[in-house]
Amino acid sequence: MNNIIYTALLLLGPTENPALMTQAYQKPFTELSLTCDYRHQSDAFRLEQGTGSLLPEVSVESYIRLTPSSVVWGEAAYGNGKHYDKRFNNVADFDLLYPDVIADSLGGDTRRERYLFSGGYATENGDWRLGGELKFRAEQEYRTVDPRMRSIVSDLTLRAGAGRTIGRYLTGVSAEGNIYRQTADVDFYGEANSMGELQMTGLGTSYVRFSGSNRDIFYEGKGVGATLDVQPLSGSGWLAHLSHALHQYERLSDEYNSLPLTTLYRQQTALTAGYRSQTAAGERALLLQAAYDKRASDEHVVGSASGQDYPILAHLTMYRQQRWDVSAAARYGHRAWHLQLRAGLLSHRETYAYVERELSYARLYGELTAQWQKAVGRDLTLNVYGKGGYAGRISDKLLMPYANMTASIRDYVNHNYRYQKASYASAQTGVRADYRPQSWPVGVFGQAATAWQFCSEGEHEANLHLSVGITF
Amino acid sequence: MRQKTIYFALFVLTLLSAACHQDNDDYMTQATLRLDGGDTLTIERVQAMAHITNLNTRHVVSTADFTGAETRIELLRGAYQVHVEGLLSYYGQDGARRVRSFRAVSDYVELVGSDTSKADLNIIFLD
Repeated sequence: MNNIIYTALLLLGPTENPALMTQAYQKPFTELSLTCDYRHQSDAFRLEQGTGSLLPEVSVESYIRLTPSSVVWGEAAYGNGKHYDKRFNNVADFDLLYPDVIADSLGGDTRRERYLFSGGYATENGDWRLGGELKFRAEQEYRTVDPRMRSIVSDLTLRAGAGRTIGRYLTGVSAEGNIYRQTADVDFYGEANSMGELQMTGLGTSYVRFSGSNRDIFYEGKGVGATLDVQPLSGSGWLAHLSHALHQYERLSDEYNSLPLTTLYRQQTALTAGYRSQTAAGERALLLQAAYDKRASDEHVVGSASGQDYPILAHLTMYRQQRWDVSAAARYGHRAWHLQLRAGLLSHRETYAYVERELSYARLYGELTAQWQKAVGRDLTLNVYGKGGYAGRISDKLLMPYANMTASIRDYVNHNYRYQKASYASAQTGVRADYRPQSWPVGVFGQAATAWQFCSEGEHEANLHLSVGITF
Repeated sequence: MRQKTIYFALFVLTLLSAACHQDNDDYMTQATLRLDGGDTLTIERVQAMAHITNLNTRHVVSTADFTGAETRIELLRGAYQVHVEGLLSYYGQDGARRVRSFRAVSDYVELVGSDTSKADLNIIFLD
């Protein structure tokens, strides 16, 4: 289901509504796969995310029809890999928690171990469809040299959904709840190595009072979400997908009696709407997509301790990030060929209220994807795709109080800004071959894909994906 | 039934929208710092430098703009350390006017009012 080739052209992406899974695949399958993803950047595009990663993973996915009207599905995965040269970030799940991370300028390589389990059930009864899904992720990321960071994550998501056939359309609504927890600490074993850790609060700022020797923190998170879907049961028709999710992650200090330091509020809203015309020979579709992602981080102003209790005097929303991604996609499919042209605008703005800081950029982008999928002979199916694109900068702005910034923080902010305001050219290609002779009880598959990004700053990123496995 | 489904979907989305975080953007407070010389003297004029350090950010704001025994300054709401040092002229109990150097220090002052905040600082003479 997470196959990068198959998802390359999915206009709406995998469904988030478990009730709509009853007809998600034409045939039941089980797939056991061994995958390896390698990423290398010649210079870190974002210091916190490092220069690359090597992430092997073994996984098994199943989609089984229990009765003509009910299905179950599930996935289990284990991964054990490395991230290279992460700096200014000593927690796992940076994408979720930014900017409220614990950090230092030294950083280094980290190891990552991940367990993933998910399962769901969906059933049809007349015009109605009902479904539920559970996902659990346990992850640890650690470093065995100073600074010895260790983060342990548990992340549980529960989803329930309903769908109903109305005329020739399938409508669906779903809701989800999420519980998240991460413990993160940083230790120094070398006598001369001990250094302060920064409780980062965005755009190079930090919560100075609780930085330094305060190196044990944990995050408590929770979230809710909802989706709304409309799609034609088959053939042609209008389709729409609306999703809205709210999450919050509170950062607490272990060493100050679970004192809340910051709370990050995240709001994500996405809308896709369009028209699809489908015939036996091919398809045509036009879609408009808009995604909005907002982060607001409250700093809790802490008073003087009374015993072990610190009063919270005020909550100030010091950091904000707003990101818009608006695009239009046209898709044309004829027999084995599919083409998709997409163009859009990405706008990103981060601000810190006092002392004022601002970073913003906007890019116009366009990309063309081609996919060819065909059965070659009786036993072999080939799926080949290629994609090329360009994202050009149209504006950028950086406002920083440089006079009051240390050299390492100034270099950190400038480094990230250099790549955020850049333009990027990208190229991807991949192939998947599924081989299953009639006489074999199982099929085998192999997949290889590579993706490259070339930055206007003269640096590049290379990605390589390999996977092999069996299906039955 | 179709209408019910649409109403339910709209209800869920409205509920989620209502649950959106309200930003706390009343960042600043108009802080008044008043030098307190006790009942025995009346402060007439102050020439001093006040250094006000935010305990959470360590950001330092300085001012020498005193009116009588008070200075007013706009600050980020928070907990502060305050250090004032300089000269003041005052009238003592005998009615005589004197000028002496002084210091007023507080390790912890809460200036968190969403509109105005006030703090009194006790002075000691240095001579």
